[in-house]
Amino acid sequence: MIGLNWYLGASAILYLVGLYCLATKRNLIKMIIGIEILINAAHLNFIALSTTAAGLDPLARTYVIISIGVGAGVIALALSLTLLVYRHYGTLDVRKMRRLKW
Amino acid sequence: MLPLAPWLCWGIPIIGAILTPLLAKIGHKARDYGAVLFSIVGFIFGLSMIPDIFAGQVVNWFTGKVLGSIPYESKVMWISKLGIEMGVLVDPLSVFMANIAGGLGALIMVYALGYMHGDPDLTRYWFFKNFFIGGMVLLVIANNLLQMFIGWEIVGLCSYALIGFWHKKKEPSPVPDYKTEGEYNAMCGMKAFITTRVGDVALLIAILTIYASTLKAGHPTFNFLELKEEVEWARLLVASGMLIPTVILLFGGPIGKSAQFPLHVWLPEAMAGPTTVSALIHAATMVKAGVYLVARVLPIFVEVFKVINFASALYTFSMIVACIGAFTAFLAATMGMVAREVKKVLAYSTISQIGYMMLALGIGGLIGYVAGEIAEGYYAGTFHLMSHAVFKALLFLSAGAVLHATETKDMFEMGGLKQYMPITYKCMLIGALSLAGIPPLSGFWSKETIFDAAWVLAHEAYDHGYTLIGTTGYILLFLAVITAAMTLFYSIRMIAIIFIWPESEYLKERERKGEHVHEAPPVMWVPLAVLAAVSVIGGLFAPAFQVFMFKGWEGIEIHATAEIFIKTVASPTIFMTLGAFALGGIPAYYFYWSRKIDPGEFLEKHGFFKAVHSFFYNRWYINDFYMKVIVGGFIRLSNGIYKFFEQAIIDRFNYALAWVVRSFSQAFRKTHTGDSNYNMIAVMLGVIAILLLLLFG
Amino acid sequence: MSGPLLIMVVLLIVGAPIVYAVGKGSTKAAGWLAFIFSLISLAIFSLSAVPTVLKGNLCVEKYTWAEMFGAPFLTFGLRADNLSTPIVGIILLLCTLATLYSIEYMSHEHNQELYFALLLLYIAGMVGVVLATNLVQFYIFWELMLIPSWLLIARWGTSEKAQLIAFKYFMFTHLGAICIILGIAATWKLTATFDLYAAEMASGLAAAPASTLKLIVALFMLGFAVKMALFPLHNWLPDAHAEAPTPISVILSGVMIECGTYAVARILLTFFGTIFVIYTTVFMTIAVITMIYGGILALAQKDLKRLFACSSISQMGYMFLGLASATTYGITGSMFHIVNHAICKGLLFMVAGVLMHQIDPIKGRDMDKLGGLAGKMPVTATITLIAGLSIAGTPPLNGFASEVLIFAGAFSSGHILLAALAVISTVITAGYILWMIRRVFFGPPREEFENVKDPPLTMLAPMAFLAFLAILLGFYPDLVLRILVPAAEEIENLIGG
Repeated sequence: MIGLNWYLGASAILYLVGLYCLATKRNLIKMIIGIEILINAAHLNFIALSTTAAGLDPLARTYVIISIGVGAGVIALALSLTLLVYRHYGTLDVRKMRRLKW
Repeated sequence: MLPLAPWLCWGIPIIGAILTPLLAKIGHKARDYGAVLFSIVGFIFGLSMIPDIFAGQVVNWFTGKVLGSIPYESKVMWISKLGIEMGVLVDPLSVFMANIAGGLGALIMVYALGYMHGDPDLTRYWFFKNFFIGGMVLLVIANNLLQMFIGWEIVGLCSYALIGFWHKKKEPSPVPDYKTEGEYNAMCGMKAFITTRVGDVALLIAILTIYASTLKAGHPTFNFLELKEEVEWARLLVASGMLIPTVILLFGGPIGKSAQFPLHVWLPEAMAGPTTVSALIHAATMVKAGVYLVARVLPIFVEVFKVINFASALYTFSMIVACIGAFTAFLAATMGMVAREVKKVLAYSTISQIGYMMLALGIGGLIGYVAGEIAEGYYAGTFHLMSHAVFKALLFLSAGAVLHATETKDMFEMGGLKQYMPITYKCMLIGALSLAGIPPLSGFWSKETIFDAAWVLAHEAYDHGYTLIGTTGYILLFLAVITAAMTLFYSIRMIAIIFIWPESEYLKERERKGEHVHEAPPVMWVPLAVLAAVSVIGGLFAPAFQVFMFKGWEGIEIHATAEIFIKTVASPTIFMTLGAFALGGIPAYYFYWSRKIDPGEFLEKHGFFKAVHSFFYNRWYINDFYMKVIVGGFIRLSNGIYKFFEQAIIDRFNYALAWVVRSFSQAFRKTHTGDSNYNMIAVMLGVIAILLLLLFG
Repeated sequence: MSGPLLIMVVLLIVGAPIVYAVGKGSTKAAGWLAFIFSLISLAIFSLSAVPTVLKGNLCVEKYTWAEMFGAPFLTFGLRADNLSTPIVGIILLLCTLATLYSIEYMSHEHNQELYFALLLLYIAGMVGVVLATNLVQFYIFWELMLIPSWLLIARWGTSEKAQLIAFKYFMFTHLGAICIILGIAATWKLTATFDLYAAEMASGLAAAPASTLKLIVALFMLGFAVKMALFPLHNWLPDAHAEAPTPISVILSGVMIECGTYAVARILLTFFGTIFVIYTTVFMTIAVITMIYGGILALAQKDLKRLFACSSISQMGYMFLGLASATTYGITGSMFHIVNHAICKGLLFMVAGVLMHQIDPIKGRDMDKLGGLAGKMPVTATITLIAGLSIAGTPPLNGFASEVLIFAGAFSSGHILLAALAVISTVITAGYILWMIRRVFFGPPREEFENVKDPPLTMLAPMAFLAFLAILLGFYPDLVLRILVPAAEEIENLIGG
């Protein structure tokens, strides 16, 4: 089998990709996809670490499935907020939404 | 004595003072006569203590019970938990001073009925006058230092209030710094208070240092008799090196209150008050409070320092007292010779004569140091105190009559009053000659005893091998004699200018307007006559006085009057006195009495004398120095500190601090860009930081 | 189950919204109602605590605020003993009189119902601080003192910069309060209790290392020094006291800053005494500097209220000197001086208010424009003379007794030079007081003062009563001292014996 470290490495890369996306992308939709990637990285981490030679840890996997479900709700909410924001600001550029600044 | 006399002789005037506003509501006569009555009753209580002193024990006249022997104390708790008491002490010195204060007080109150008649603020006047008499008697009859200090401050307060009594006067002020005379009067009151406060502060420091020492010794007390008995406090002060500074600071109070150099500058300004105030407070009683204090502590010091074997403190104290006294006497007499206002002459004269009293007491202390016996100087000082109180009050009251009649303070605007005011003239002449020390008036006897004491000091000192003290004795005697010459000079000058010189233009102008100079009313000249009579025969009472004062002292011989007379006349100092009379009297006669030489022309012709005259007239520039350098300097300092420290530095520091904080937050809030991307970067950095902390922390 | 002390404090706090509500209807009623509330509090206190303390007992009430696991967790208590009773007495008395004075003085101001409501809260805060036995309770009431007074200065202050001045006052005092809360937290760490009189407090402090105790003393001292306006933390006081509305100045100068003095005596001297006395020389030096500096500032002032405020700085120096000397005489003198200063400085500020009310709010406090008022306002002039001379320490007034005790304490502590400097500074005090009286009252009257007369009765009566107290306590200081001396002796025994 592929060793644990590969999965952890992949998870780390996914995490960094998600962070990079959040830190750099301007488009709201792209940032939401970035959040998704972050969440998937965490899921991958959980699954990788819960696989041992003796068997699977059902609790961890259960959490992942619940999390996937919750993630779907979060994305739905995020996308509906994005719709409203687009209606209000006329743009999806996050750098133009600066009302909460100094 | 009458029951509760030591309490009532000061309690009754104070009660009278408090009741004065109520009496004023009833009516003017009730208030005026009531106030005078209270002071007279207080005096009667004071008189009742005199027979007890002679008898040596205190007897209640109502019950006939013997309450105790002299010195007799009566105490009451004041601050119970700390053991601080209030009490009165019946002993020769206190009864003597109480009667002088009470007697002269009552007499001057009677005189004031005439002098202050019609003044709109009389309620305030009677209040402070009675309060003063009460406070002064409290001062002298107190049995402990704290209570004496309370009386000390009370008389200072009343003096302040009474000097500035006429603060509403609208006439132009005599000095250019103030617009109206009223403002000037108020300033004089304040000057008196502050200057004496400087002395009082030194006195308070000394009192509290002594008290702290008694506390450390285990018996906290302010009481005079206890301080004399228990000497541990003095030992502790010697051990910490504080005894000599303490006794010097103690003398600071008398320097202020009794207007000695260097705190003598307030007394001439104090003449701005009504003449009755000047007579009572600034001639007869308050200024003697310092002399009283020195006379009170001198026996204590002699006794205590002998026991603890530290007599050099007595030496230092007495030397300072004597030297300051002699120098002040000389200084003030020079200023009195050139003064223009009659009350100013009398003020300088008072400063000078108190200098004599301090000199006498100081000499007493020095003789005590040298030969173990302070009686000579002590007697000289206290006898001169009594004699001076009488003739100075006489002089001031006569001056009051003259001021009342001519409505001017300047002597050169008077003249020729001999024909208009014969009684006043005779009384004032007696007072002036007594002041100058002309025999057989009382002033002569008291001054001679002072000179005698100085002579005795010089001889005793040389006999016992103290050459420095001996030489000092001669120098002091010399200063005293020169001062006596000057005293005669200014006395004759004053009398001559007021009474003998021809009428001035000012008086002639008044005559034309119909305001004639008239003799004083009886309510004013009867007190004058009483005082003049006492001044004439006062010398006869010397032996009685000696018996009185030295009741309870050991080893004092009392001589009969004739013996004293012969001793005084036959002593070596009599020649010095005669020489002084010649030195002072002859120029005065030529300048002022017979008017053979005109003083103005004389000054013009001789530049040296003119310069000296100007120097004396400007009060040796001491007053100017104090006002410009010390007072002015301090006010400039305080304004400067306010502007350049408080406002410039502290205020600016606070505003700078606020500015720093505000700019920091102005700068820091720029991190809140509102841009989500930057927020995410911050989150990332935060996560990394926490990870690092967890890994390596 | 509640005792009289609690009723008193609650009455004051609850009275505030009642006064506000009543005041919305009628402003006159608000003022009189506030006066009645504080008068009732004063009466409750005099009838309950004062006789108990005079007999020699304490009047202590303890209440449980919250329980945890069945045992009391947060307690608070109100303790009227020898030390606090005279202070609470004078606080209530002065505040009641100031409220009466405010009725006439503030009658032309806006939002009087809010003013009187805040006044009651303010009084409650001060009373709570002095009666507190629990450190957290102490802190809560400390801040309760601060907030109403900040509002009072900001809204009714007399200068255009009133809000800025109030803000500066708030920041200074609050920074001090932060130091206090840090000290309280450190004390809790050492003793696991906030209650001053619990057994754990004494044992915890006794077992604590000296360095921690020194830190706690420094923190507390910083907080109290800001409140007491000791040099160099005095800068807020001249502005705040000069520009507050006059009855508030009366209370600020008269009793609020003295709460700092009381707190030093109650908390620092009683519980941290052994550490406090290590720094006697430092504290006495600060006290003497404050005395002299305050006096020098007062000499430079032309504005009457600012002069009185700088004088208060100097007088706080006097009080701190007595405490710093840590002797029975000094502590007694300081506490007695709290009472006397409240009476006399309160009186002086009331006089300033009278001048502003009768003459002109701006010209009435500028001494260059005054003069010769003794003839027009004789009663006011006499009262000013009594109050001023008492501050200057003249017998037979009350100021002399407390000052002599403070100086006796200073001398008996052994620091002769500092004590001598302190006594010398009384010359400065006499100087600015007499100069002030002369500039305002003496001399011939000016024409523009033709119609000036003495103030109305509701302003004059409190002043006359305070003047009477000043004379009474001067002749018979034992009235208060017999309560204070045992407290001071107890403290001195705790410190060093």
